[in-house]
Amino acid sequence: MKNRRLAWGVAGCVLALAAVPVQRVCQAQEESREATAFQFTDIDKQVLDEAKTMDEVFQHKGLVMHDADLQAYLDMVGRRVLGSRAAPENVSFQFRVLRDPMVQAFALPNGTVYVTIGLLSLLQNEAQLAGVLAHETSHVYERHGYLENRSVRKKMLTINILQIAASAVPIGPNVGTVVSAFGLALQLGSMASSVALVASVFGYSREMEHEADSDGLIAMTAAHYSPAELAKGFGLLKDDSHLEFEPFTTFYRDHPKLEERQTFAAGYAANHAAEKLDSGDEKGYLAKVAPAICAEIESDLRSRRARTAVARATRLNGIFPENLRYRTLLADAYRALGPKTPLPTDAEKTDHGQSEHRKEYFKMTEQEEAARLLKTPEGQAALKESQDKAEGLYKNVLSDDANFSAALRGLGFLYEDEGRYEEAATEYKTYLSVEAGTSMDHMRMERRLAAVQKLADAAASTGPAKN
Amino acid sequence: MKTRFAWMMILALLVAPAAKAITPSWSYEAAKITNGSFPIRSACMMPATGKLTRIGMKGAEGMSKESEDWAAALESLVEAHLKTANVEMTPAMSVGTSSASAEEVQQAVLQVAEKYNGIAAQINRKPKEIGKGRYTLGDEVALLPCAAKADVIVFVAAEGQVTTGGKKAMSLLVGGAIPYASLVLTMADAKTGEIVAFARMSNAENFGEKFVAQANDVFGKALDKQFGKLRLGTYQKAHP
Repeated sequence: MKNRRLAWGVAGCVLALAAVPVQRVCQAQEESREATAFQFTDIDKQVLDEAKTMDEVFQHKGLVMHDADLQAYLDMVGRRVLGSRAAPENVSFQFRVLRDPMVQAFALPNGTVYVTIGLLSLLQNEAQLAGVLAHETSHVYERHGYLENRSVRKKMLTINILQIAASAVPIGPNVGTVVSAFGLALQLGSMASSVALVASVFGYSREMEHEADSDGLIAMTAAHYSPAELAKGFGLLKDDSHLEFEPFTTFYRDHPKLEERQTFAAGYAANHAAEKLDSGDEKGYLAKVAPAICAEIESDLRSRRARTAVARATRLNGIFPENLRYRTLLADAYRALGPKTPLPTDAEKTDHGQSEHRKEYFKMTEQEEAARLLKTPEGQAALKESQDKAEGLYKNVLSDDANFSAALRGLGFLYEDEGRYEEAATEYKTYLSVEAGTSMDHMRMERRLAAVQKLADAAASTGPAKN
Repeated sequence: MKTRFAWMMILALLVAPAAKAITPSWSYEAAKITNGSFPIRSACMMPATGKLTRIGMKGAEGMSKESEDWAAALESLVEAHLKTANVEMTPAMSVGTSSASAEEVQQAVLQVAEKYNGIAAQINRKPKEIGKGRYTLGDEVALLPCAAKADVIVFVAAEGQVTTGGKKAMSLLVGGAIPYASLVLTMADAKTGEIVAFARMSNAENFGEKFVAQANDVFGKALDKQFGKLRLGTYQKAHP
């Protein structure tokens, strides 16, 4: 009797497991039909509401960058990529810059397309930006957010039902493993957040991403942008990805996918090599997105991403050497770099090196990491080089404009870091005389001046040792 | 099978009320708070962050709007408890007497939040190190106009999970996601940026959809307890 019950239970589980691959084939066919004749369900409307809420939250928290010229530029490129295609139902395409240093772009199912300051800072020209926008708008046209949500919900329900079925079977030597395996799968599934929007941000299924790449290349070519630039853009993403530790791998950083995408885009571009299509020049592009790059550099400096800050500021300064603000940002970046090298060493680029970097990021504060590096001759040499470069750049700015307040402040910070308190106090005094008394930074700098003045007076009173 | 199921139900019924009543909490503070040399009489309140997830039979769903409502409720709750302790409160978004625009202040708030996020992982791993003065946001915190008159800047971060009825029933049968709510409160010296206090509290009750209405029930007593330990305002007199 007992054996018969056990046999029925195992048979039930085997039948349920066998149903999963069959269901997958049916689902793929269903998704293909669904994309061509999309009908909104109540679940889809919930996703739409959630997307609208996300838009509101980003705005409310000040995460959307408001720069009129930058916005106008992004809108222009976005509209060109969209062309004369009508927007699908419940879609209103809007293009926004997100204040986030991570290299990322995503489109919500309601048509809001976000590009981060991190991604804008990395790209080289307008055609690469157009490629990104074309890819993201393709996700919206193909309803990938809704389809992915439906697919995962069905899978979760299947897993849940299987687990209930399994739990009805008495525990035995053959069945116990199955039950615990289902429990584990359910635990992992339960930890996921809102499926549709997570997929929007972090990447859809392989097939959907390939479809968006394909549609995106067609759209950008139709808009007279060179698809070869998108392939170059993937190359940039690959080369840039080892500069810093990043807490998670975004879709635009995922290496195996990047290589596949680069190969696919290059192949498509080769078929359109004879056409005269626009790339856009780097200088023109950087001039348009410079506010985003400046915001990104400042964000990097607050987020332990000094290497990225140096890379971005070097590029900006190289194209616009006459700009005092960009030169000061480069000086700030070198000052923040401290005992780190501007580029990762070969050891740091390996998997082990990346793993060690990740551990350090979570175990050590920024100050502790710097202290550890300063114990090595390489760290001390790197610090000297960074500080010399920073000082040179600050002084260079002040030789063009003696009252450039950001450079005065930065040079004061540098002198203070080096223990040159008297010189730091001089820079702070000049800064305070130049900046308005009601500026946001005034009180902080007054406190800094008081502190370094005390240290300078103490150093002066001890004086050099007498023989 | 029937007997085992019955015992599980009885156990769940016995445990549930106890779980409801308990909100374990812990706090750590800097030496200057322990020795009374840094009294906290005024605070600048950063916008709270909250993340709620609903776990149902068809997987997890984000609750963006509800998360925002919950965060606002918790921010008000913490503020109310601090005011009860005679701590003068100012919102971080306040322009004060500075010439900064509202947008500039909002960007300064984002910058300070960014600095906090950069060290939050280390603080959560080893909060005891606060006693050694290990963590700091740097004096950029003084950019906030509200920092001029405040002793501390307060950060509130919360995370929670609610389960639907079907999921709850399923969890009783086969285990799985459990509801919970946790709150982390961090305080930084408003002049130097040094992290001076940290409190964490967790509750395993399934407060269902009443997360806003039940915020005080879930965290109120734990807040009072930890504020007493941190010697805040009048709590200092009540809990010397």
